[in-house]
Amino acid sequence: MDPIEAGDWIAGRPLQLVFLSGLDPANKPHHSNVVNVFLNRTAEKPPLQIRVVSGELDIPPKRDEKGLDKGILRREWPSKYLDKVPALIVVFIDLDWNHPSWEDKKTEAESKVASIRASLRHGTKVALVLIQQKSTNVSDNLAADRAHELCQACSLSSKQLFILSADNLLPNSMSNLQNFSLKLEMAFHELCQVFYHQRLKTIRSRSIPNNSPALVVRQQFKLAFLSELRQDTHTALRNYRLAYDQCKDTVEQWDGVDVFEWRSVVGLLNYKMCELAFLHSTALEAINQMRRHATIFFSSAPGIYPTPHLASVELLLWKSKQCYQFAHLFERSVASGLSALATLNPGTHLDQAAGIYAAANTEILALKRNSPQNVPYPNPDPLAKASSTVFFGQRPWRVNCEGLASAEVEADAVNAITQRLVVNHEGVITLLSAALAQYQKYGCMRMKKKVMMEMANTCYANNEIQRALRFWGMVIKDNALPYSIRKDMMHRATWAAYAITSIQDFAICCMQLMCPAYSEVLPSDCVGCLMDLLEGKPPRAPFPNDDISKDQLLTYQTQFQQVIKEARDPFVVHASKIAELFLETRVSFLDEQTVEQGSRVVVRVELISKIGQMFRLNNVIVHLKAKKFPQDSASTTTETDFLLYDPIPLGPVDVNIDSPMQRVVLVDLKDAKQNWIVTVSKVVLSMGTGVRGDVEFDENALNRNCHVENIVGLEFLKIGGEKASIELKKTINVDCLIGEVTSTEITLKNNSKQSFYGLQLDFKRKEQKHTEAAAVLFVEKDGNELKSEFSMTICEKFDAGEVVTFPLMFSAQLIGEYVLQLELFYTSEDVAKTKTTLVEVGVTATEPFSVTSTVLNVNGIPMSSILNNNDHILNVAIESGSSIVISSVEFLMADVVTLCDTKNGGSGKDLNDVVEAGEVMAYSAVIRVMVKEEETETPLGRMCVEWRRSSPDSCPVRSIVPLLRIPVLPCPLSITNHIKTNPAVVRQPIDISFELRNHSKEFQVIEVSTNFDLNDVFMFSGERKITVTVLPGATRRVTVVVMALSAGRLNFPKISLKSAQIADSVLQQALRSLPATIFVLPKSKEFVTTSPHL
Amino acid sequence: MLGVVGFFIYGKENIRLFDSVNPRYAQQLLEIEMFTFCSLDIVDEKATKASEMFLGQLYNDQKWRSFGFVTNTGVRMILVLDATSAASLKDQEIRLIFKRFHGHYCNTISNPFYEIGTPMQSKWLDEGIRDLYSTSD
Repeated sequence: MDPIEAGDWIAGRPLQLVFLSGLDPANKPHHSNVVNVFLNRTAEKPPLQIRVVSGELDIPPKRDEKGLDKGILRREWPSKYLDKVPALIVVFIDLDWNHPSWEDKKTEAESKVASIRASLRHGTKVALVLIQQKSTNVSDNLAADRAHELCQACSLSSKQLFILSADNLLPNSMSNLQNFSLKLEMAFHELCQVFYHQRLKTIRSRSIPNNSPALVVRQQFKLAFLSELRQDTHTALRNYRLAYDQCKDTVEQWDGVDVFEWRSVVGLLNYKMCELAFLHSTALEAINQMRRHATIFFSSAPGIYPTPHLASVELLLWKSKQCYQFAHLFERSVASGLSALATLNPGTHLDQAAGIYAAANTEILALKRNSPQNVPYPNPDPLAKASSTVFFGQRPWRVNCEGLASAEVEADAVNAITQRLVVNHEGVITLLSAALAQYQKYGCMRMKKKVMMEMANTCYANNEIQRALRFWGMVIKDNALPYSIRKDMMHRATWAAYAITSIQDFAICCMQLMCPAYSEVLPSDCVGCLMDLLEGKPPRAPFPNDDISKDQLLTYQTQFQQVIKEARDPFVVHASKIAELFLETRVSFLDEQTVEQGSRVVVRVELISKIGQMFRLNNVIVHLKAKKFPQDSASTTTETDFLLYDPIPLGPVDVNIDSPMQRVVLVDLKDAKQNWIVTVSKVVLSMGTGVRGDVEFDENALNRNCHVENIVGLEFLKIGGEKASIELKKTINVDCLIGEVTSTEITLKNNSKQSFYGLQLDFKRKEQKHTEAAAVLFVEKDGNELKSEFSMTICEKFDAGEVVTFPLMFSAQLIGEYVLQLELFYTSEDVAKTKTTLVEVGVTATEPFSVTSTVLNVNGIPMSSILNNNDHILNVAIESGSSIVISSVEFLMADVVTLCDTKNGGSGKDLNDVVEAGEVMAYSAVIRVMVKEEETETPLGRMCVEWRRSSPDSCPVRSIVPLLRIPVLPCPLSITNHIKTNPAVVRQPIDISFELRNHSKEFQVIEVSTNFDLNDVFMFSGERKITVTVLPGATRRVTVVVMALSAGRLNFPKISLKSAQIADSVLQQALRSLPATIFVLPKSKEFVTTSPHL
Repeated sequence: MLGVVGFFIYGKENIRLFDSVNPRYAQQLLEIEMFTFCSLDIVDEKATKASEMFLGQLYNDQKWRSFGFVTNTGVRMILVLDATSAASLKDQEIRLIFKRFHGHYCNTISNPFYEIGTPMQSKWLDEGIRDLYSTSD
């Protein structure tokens, strides 16, 4: 007998029953408004179940306690409080305080209340609501008096009388009415609480004779249920627990014939406890309660009534139901916000329910097999009253019976139950599917696999072999599953496929069993079976060690014969749906990662067999596919996004473990677009003579069970752009000096397989990557001009593989490392469009030499500024950066500068001065600057250097370099000296004449005082101090005679000047144009002999 | 009778390194294997949050209960107990069994010829496990 359902009442939360009487919604619109507001129940309103009643109340009378029935819980008892016995009856009367016939109305109300009270039996509360036209003022004494009067008359307390003002009933004041009704409902709820409290007190006060377990459980259940109605769920849980504990403690005393009833009650109590625990958000408590429940009652003895077998089946069904119900509660709780885990989720309970149900199914099957057949279903049906028993869980045939029914009835009942029991595999599958969904949700993949395996087993038991095979297939695919389990499944699956004579399934099973991993643990004759099948013979038994009768085997084989005869299409095995096969395929490309469009690539195909026997394949077909990469997720794959190449058949092949097939095929990748990738999309192995079959290895199955490093070559290729057809044979890097004309050779090669025409090389200044490159000047072929734009025709026809070499001459104008980008234009035969290739020439340009110019005074001291009208030496040092020959140096002085003397400076033409890299060559000249005004810096001019590389065939370059700029200070006076005695000899008079010259343009007369410094080196004669006036443009001389007292290089006799017109510092600088030393010879013989005085 | 059913060791990536089932339960080998396999789901979940090596009870059904232990290197150990046996082991006793089991494991991997991460075949470990079975009987 199936476990007893508690009834509809168990579904929701119990609500307090309230009846509304005296309302006439059909005829009075304001009553209708009141009814609508009360019947509109929402979650936030008090937990009331409100019904509008009219006429006679149908309240059940109190039951006669002396009934003979013995049981635990009355089936109808909970519905009594939910449907029949109200906690409160509310009487509505239309009555104003100042009603003209107040007394009559009062009597009417009194009689109404009295009549309702008369029909009540359980202490139901009564409330009176007056619907009034006018609202009552708080200080209305009449109202207070009459209210008191009315309460007295109806024997109601003042808390049971309510006024509903008609103002609130107007359609436009619905919110008022709602607020008012809410207040009323709160008040009703209070009254209900009192009612249930009284009921609880009454029930608690009942004495239980002999502490009868059944009565204790009943009392506790009632207390719990009424507490639930009273919305005191914690007390309810406590009472349910007390009832449950009572059951648990007395489990040993259960009467054998009442076990079913007890168990039903225990199940109900457990359900309620778990429900309340979940409600209290103590999920762990609920789970622990369920665990405790399972520990105590699941392992209890099934009993022997009605028969031991039936009792066992009933226990299993009950257990399954318990698990299912708990899972249901758990799931409901999760739906309302509880977070479950992999460890604690409803799936485990559903799984458990399914497991127990499956066990029950097995027992039912056994029971049905053993029960006598052809026994008619008993009449009258002993199970007819199954849904109307007095007690919960009572045996329907024992209603109104004391103890057991008569022997015949009992036997009929057993018969009826046995006949009604059915093997319900679908039920198990439903439970398993629910568990599967839960496991999936909580990420328990292994448990999911287990459930799938159980589903397969159930389908198998239900004779849905195809479905079972599908599930097994999915589970076996998991490599993580222990082989011992997979072996067991394979064993079953193979036999199942054999039994239903499904060629495809049987072939798949055989191909898997042929893998060494299986053949080691599960000895089979699968190779023979597959060979038989492919030859068109009915296969032999897959497991020769298994016990199978010859007749049975013959039947299968006859069926196979038939199926094979009818088989038209080849069976197809999708390798990716199977974990491993006895054949593995490896494919790879033996090429570079990126290949040119339209090129031919080499594809390597390897076929590995894992069996020792030679296995023949009729054909191996390789499919290649080119596809866009990465594929756009937004757009669906269109035909333009991929390309399937023609399949490549490799012909018949024989493979075994020692001789794998290794082939290399050449594939023309035509029509594939740039940036697509090419893969081997599929390899199809076709086999069989009698029965044909194809094993398809798609992208997921190719190269599997194989480390990436073991793959020879690449798994996919990328289509790159077409290679440049003409390219430089070697890269060019030119080292050059600024200004020189460099010549380099460019060698181009035609790498393509076609000829090109009209090759032209252009240089476009504006399209250069480097700005320095734009300044390069080119020399055209046979030309002698430097040009900034350049264009050259190389050749008219350029054949495939041909090499062309031509010179390129240019002159770099700026230093640095840069690339000249020359564009090569050409056309090909088939394409009219002109193609372009960039030819790049690297240039490293350096200065040929660096020029440093300085100005020195007469004494060779570098000057930072010079004096106007004085002579200075210009010294130019040329430091060469490379080995060059300087052929000419020419000073191109500025207008203000007079070149006084270049003779001894080294400059001039036809010099042929060889300067190696790093060497310095200096040229000098005497210059005089004659500026009119003071300038901060005066440019001295430029210098022209003609040079060439020291290599023989170099061409000369004329470089013009600027000379330095130097400040020129104005000084109207210049001083020079003349040594009249030459050479100067020791102890001989030396005439020295100092010449002062006035250069001033403003006709300024300069008065200068000279002072000759005396020292020990010279003897002196002449005017030591003298003041001279120098007229503009005139020259004055101051002559002194000195006699050197020693020979050698002596300090030049020192003269100092002072002038009122010229600053001392300027005069000091002017004096620096005098020599610093004088060389005095010792007395010579020649001189002695020639001197007549001595 | 304490009902120790079997010991299993899995690598960090759930590759099985060792398995042993009490010969008394050899008949139910498949069920035990499947049960242990399912327990790994719970180990996966618990191992990431575990604050100690002992993971506590993993999974239970009508027949079996499994307990987990994860070493510092992420090696998972599963102990399967008979859920129907009369005496149930206390938490402390299970910890003790794991401690000894872990000790045996450590001794086994101390073998210089053992390659970490490969299935373990060691007579010392087998003896140790036999010892654990015999104490539980």
